[in-house]
Amino acid sequence: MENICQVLNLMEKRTKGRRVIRYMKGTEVLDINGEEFFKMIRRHAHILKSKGVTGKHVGIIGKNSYLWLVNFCAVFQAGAVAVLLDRDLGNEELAELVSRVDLSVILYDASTEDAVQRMVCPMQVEILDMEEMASGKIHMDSNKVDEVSWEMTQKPEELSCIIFTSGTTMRNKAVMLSARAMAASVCTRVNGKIFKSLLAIMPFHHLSGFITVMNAMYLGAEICIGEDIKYFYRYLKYMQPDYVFVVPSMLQLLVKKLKNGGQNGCALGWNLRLITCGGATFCSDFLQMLQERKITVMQGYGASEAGGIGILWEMTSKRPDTLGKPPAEMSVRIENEELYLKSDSLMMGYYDDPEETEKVLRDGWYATGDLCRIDGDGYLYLTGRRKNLIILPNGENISPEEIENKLRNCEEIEEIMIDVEGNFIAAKVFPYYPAGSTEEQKAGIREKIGKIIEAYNGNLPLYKQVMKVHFFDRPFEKNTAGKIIRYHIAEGMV
Amino acid sequence: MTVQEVKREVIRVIKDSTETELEISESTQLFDEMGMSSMEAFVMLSDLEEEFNINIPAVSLRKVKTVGEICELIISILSK
Repeated sequence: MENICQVLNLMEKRTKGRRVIRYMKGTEVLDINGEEFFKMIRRHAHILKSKGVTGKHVGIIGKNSYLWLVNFCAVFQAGAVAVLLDRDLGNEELAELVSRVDLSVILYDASTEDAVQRMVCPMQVEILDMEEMASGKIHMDSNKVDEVSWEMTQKPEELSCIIFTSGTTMRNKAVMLSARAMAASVCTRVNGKIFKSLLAIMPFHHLSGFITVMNAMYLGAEICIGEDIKYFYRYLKYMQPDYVFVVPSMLQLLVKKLKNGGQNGCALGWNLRLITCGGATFCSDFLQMLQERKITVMQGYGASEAGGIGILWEMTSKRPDTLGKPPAEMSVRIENEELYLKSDSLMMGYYDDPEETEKVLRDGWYATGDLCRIDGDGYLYLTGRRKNLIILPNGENISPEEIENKLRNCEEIEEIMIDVEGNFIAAKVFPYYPAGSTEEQKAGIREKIGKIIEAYNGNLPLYKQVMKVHFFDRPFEKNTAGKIIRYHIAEGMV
Repeated sequence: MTVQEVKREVIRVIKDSTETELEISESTQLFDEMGMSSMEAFVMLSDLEEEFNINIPAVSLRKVKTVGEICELIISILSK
């Protein structure tokens, strides 16, 4: 397979006459069969082509939905590049990304309408409401729908999709995936595991969202769309998927609920048999409990830059801390302790950023920034990170320096260090107390810092907010270069 | 329902949803004290929605830090 259109063509043939997608409206489950799905894709591709998007960059922003998936596939069929945007973006962040990756069109839904409408861009961007496209309010010539075929193919090395690495600020990077990388990402096996239906609860704009969906469809499974994380349990009960891809904080919820859930969660009305958790840490207690309930747990290791081919490995108590072994489609090597990956799904580079690309792509290998070792049997083990990133339980990466730099400008803060504590971001602060400050004045400064952090949090999504602040009564320990030694400051908290 | 009844129900739903063993009151901090994860908070919203038959947008959680603020949020939605 050389591009996603060829994969979609194959999927269309394979899914004729059977249910491919399920989603919920309230407590009602709606089913979509293969014919309906692909006909809808053609309709939307036709509208997009009539808007002249071929060869251009088309952004998609919205909650997980049937329409999102239709439009995602339609963009490829219309010969355009799909740019997947985080639905939590505000209008300013959105405007910055739109300019950065040269978007011509943005497809949005009701949940993102406000940010899209309020976005002020220096360039002209056409905005299209996906619901209006579906309802026929946006004009199209329906007679020509069948003329839209899968022939609109891209060359394997051409840009096909842009996704963004997670980040706390506008400095997240735009990862370019070629047509070949997209096809390779989708046409993989989930470590030989068989499943019938996937609960797609990860945000679709994430690699773990859209790739798991397309991959499941390629493998012949149904997709149960989880539109809103709020209804996680409801989806498991009403649509009864047997497979779910989650992040550690969601795994924690599942573990809590499954304690009294019976085999496969049947006491809760579930039918869960397989869980993949991105970036999970091993926990023998829950593993045993889940195994007793006939549920297999796999951990996933990958990166946006590496595309859809990652390492998926079943957790066992035999090798509790291994990442596992790479799949046949992936090569790995370790150089200066750093893990390098190579596969057909690797990114082409960062969009319009050759300097950053050069730092991580070397002779066709991706330098992960993760420190790793390999044992005699070929099992990989993470030993540290070269990049100073914090991975939160929801799978998002946070660069502590970015938050620290924003808050360090306040005169009340002498030194600050960002870390993760439990499920959230925490700040360790050494306040600036002017000489001769009384205890009362010091308390006032600490209160002011609390307010500064509250203002920083503003309207950020919960996982990006600084939830805890610890005050220190002396400066942090530094290395000889004057840099704070992270993780060495547990003592001295007040 | 009176305001006091709503508050009592909200506290009961939060306790059931999070299965916390803590004694919680309006001043209890959801994330700092109860150690709630953002995922737990989202799922708690769906339990509150079912209890009060309302829709609570997930973004409304961004400004909420205490049990009391959840009570106020529910009361404001109910009174619309």
